[in-house]
Order: sequence, then structure tokens, then C-alpha cells
Amino acid sequence: MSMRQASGFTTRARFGAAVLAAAAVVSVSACSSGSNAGGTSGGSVAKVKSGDPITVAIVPKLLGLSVFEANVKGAKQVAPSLKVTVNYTASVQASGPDQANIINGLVKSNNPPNVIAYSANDPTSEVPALMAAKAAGIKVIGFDSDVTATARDYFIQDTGYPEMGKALIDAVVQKFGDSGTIGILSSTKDATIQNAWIDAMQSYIKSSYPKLKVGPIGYGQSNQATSQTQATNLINSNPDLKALIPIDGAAVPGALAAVKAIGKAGKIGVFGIGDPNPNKQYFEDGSLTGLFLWDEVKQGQLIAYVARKVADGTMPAAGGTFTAGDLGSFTVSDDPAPGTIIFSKPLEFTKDNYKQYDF
Amino acid sequence: MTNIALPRRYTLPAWGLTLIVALVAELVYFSLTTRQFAGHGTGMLVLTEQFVPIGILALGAGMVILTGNIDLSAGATASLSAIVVGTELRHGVGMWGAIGIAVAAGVGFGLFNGLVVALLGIDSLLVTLATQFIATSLATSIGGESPPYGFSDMFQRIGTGLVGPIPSALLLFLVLAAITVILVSRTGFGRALTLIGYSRSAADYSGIRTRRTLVIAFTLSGLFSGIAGLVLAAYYNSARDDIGTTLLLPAITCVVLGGVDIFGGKGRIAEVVVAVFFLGFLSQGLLMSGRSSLTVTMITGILLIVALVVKLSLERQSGESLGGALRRLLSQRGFRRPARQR
Repeated sequence: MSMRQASGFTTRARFGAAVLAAAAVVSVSACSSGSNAGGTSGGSVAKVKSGDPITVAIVPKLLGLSVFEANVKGAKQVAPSLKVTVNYTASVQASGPDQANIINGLVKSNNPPNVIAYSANDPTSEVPALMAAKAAGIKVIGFDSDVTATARDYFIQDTGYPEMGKALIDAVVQKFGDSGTIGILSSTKDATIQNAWIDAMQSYIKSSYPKLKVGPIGYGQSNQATSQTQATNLINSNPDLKALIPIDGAAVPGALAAVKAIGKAGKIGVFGIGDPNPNKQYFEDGSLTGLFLWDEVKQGQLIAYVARKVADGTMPAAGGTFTAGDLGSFTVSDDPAPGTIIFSKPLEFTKDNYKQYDF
Repeated sequence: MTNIALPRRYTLPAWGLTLIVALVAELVYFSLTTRQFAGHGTGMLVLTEQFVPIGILALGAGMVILTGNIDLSAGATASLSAIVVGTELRHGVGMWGAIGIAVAAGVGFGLFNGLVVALLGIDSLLVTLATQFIATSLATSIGGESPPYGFSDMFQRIGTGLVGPIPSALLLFLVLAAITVILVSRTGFGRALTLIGYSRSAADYSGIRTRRTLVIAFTLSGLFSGIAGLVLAAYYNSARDDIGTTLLLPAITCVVLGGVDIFGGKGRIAEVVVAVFFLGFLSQGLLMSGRSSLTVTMITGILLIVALVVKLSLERQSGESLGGALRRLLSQRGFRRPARQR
């Protein structure tokens, strides 16, 4: 058979095809090299003098998620005044190894950034790449989702976990009383933040509302359709279910769709953690009884402030406080992990205020 | 249709030559434009650590695709192997014991796939789709709330160690690739693989043990998935239930770009190996030139189409138009396909 293949064409055709393929490679690469054509500076990251222009690469879990776009928007709002250039890049799918690849690429590029700000897909896969970044003199800060603390300098945590747990349970009790069963709909079994919120809710219930019962926990795999199936299961298998608590961006619309499809809108409350934009219609029809998050745009601004201070070497150690422009002052703490900055209290979106936020 | 003639063994195949030229052009281009790409020659080698697992999967997938089948469970089996080796290491099992158990899990899945496909005659697409789900859910449940991470330096060396200037993962890949190339191009097993893909009934009538060959092909794919899982766990110093799943489509892309007919019966593993390096260095080089992964995936897609057209033009008979060659190949395919019904 290889005979059939090898003898079917002339040498000229072979040569022509080889040249064609090579030309394709070169032209494709050539049109992609525009951004580094002007780079002439040294390979490793030079030490920044206070106030020098710096580049911050923001590498969230994946491209195209509205909450991360809001972070980047916020960072860009304050960037010019801080002499910061924001470079937003991420992988197409939410994958730790893919994200590690992106970070490796940034570290070895002609113009490596001064600071990398990540939101990690998982707590471990990005660690080798972030360690390589630190070794190359790049400052590393995390936001939203953390990795092992040794692989980064500071971490901006969205909210305090106990505060978020308390806010959700208080909202449930206020509208539906302090007895009955609640169902939690999370993303995946190993999602760090979601597990922290679940722990916070459970311990707050235990200490303050012992008559409230937490049913089995559903996992929607960060997918709206799977979340809807899981929510339907939770509702059907717990006849005395008072409220569903979806705590992941895809779980909120999934839970709402399930409640609506079963015809229990209004009877079963939905109190979620998520962004307002995908849930606008449910604010209007009243089936979304509570939604919490934080101001993603302002969180993006904080990323830029912290990046500037880390590059300048003016960030305080644990226990110290610093000021971030109009955002006010923040404290660095070693709880729950070393170098943690808690960004804000939970922000509740309501029918009246959700239009002010665009994410 | 030509009868089986003795292959001209030492002729450099045209598609392989095209790929090598493209690979060299790519390496030269990135070395010139991206300062740290070459890294005094060794930097380039270290970059391979990031795509060696894809290459190992592609070797197994290539053999299965040569028979006209497909193994969709390869990526999930790699995830399972990574989770198993990590969990065993966490539980204090010795390194070689843990590796043995993880590889055995991979071989077990491959063997199961092969037995169901060969003995029950169920389409491999369906069988491996099912085992993919089984492997993924096993990996998720074994991994639990906090999947294993933080392994011994000794184990991590499989993924990140160096032997002289050469990454140990690359060495492992080259050894596996050499074995696979010899197995497929120089043994009766390899000829049987290709003949089964070319025409299952012809293989049956010519006295080839087609079932046994199929079982071996799937088992080898499972073995390679298991090994890929080890390298992944060692490289990332952690294991996740999706660590290998995302590698399946890139691996199949390498097989197809390497000139293996997706319906089987045609192709060389050596060319798949060149395709692995070509695609791997392409994505690393583009990322280092500051391109987003959006650009990388888009260019991979465009290149795959360009490559398939170029390959079609290579398979053209003299005086034939591109469309004519396509029609001829498709009609051959239509003639060959019913062979699967036995």
C-alpha cells in the first residue's frame, strides 16, 4: 500500500507541496507576530523603579466570561493613572493545564509582563508555571480563585467566606422562616471556593438556625443544562424543600429554569451566588428571591492597584493596611491563606438595583 | 486498484517530507522572532514537556485509527491513570507500585474496549464513548473533594526531570514512538492493523486473526493512555479528573495531520510523530509570541484544513484535478466501507 502512495506523484508535485506547506506556516506565523516586532528590551524582567510604566497580564480561568470581562474593564479604568498597561489573555476552555501553558508562554515571551494576575482553574495545575514566573522575577497575584500560597505573592479574595454563608442563610430565613430543608447546587465536587461557601453555610446553620436542614448537595459541573437536571432531582427527592441555593454562575439560571419548569416558582425560593446579567428575566418575574456577588468592576480596579504596589515593592506584609485610590483601605491577612486581601462584603442584587451593574 | 507490491522501504514519504520541512521552517521562524524559544537549543527541548502527553496519546490513537476504529476513551483513561497514581502515592504506596496500578487501570480499560469491539462487533465509537464516561466518573469519585497533589521529587522527575539536556518525558516519548513505529511498520501485527483498516473482510479471508489484532490495538492504546496519565500527574505535580480529557482532540488532530486516514488502512506512525512536534511547537511558539490561545486554536484549525488539501494534492494521480482526486478517493471509500459489516 505504501507503494501505491509513494509512486503516485512526481518529484515536482512533492516539492511543490512541501514549499506550499512551508509558505503556509511562515505566512500564518508572520501575521501573528505583529505584537512583538517592536520588542527590543532584555529577556528577563528588569526591576521596576517606583512609578515606571508596568505591564500586568490578567489571566482568568477562560476567555469570554462576563464577570472576568468586568474585572478587566475595572482594571483598565484605573490603569492609565497608575501607568499600568493591561494585557488580558486566557485559554478558550476552562482547563488548568491550558492556563499553565498560557502562563508559560507569557514568562518566555519577548516582553514578559511585570505582574501576572490569575484566577486559577484549580489549586494545583498552574503552580509549576507560576513558580517559573516568580523565578523569572515576575510578581504573581491571584484573584477570585487561588492556588497553593507559595506560588504567588498576594491573593485578592472576593468576599469573606463566613460573611457570604451568613448573607445567604439570613436571606432564606427572612423570606421563608427558619425551618424546613434547603438544597445546595454547587459546581464540581472539588471546587475550592464553592466548598468553602458550603462549609460556611453549614456551620452558620448549625450555630444559629438548628431547625433548618441542608439536603443532599447537587453538582451541576458549571453547566447550565446539567445544573437544571440536578436541581430538578433535588426538588423531586425533597418534597419539603423550601429553597434552592445555587452557588455557581451556571447553577443559578439552571436552578431557576428547573423551579419554573416544575411550576414551583415563588413557592420554592432561589437564593444564589452569581452575576445579574444572565438572570435579568428572573428578577422581573420574581422567581429569583436573592442574588449575591461582589462588584466585579471595582474588584478589577483593586487588581490594578495591587499590581502597581507589588511591582513597586510597597505592599505591606500580613497585618498591614494599604490604600487603593477611591476604593479605600484594605488589610493584608494570613487568614484563610497567607497574603490574603479580602475585597468586599457580599453585594446583594435586587430587582431595584441590578440595572446599575453590567456583568 | 494496485495489488500489494513490496513497499519501497527507504524512500522518504512525500507527506513526511512536507511535515519535516514545515517543522524546520517553524522552528527557524520562532527561533528568530522569539528570543527565548531556542534557549541555546535546550530551551526548545524543554518546551516539549508541555505536549509529550498529547504525543503519547497520539501513538495509541494512531494504531487504533489505522484499523478503522477510534478510541474516544483515551483522554479519560489518562485522567483516571493520573488520579490513581496520585491517590496511591498519597496513600503511601511505593512509586513503582503506584505506577503499576495506574498503568494496569489503563491497560484494563483498553483491554475491555478491545474485547467488546472485537468479540461483540459493536462500533468502537459507541463502546469507547461509553468507557469514556465510566473512566471519567471513576476518576471524579476517586479524586473526591481534594484530588491528590504534592508528590515526591523522584516521581516528579518523570514529568520535569532532565537527562543531560534532554527532558526525561521527551526521552520516554521517543522510546515509545520508536517501539510503535517498528511495531506498525516492521511486524506482522502492523501489517495486520493496516489491512484490517483497509478492508476488514479481506483481512478476515486472508487468515489474519483480526479479533486478536483489534484487542491488542485497543489494549496498547489503553497502555499508552495510562503512561500519558503518569507523565501528566508528574508534570503538574497534581492530578485532576479532567487533566487528560482535554488532550483527546489534540491527539486525534496529530494523528490526522500525520497523514493517517481517519477511516483506517493508510498512514505511518513516524509521520504522526513529526506532526506531534509540529503542532506542539506551533502552539508553544505562538503563545510565546504573545498570541492568545484563541489564535492558537484558530490557526490549528486553518492549518489542518490546509494540510488536508495539500495531502490530497499529493495523492493526485497525474493529470487529475483536485476535485477528481477527491471523487476517486471517496468512491474507493464507498467501495471499502461495507467491509465493516462482516
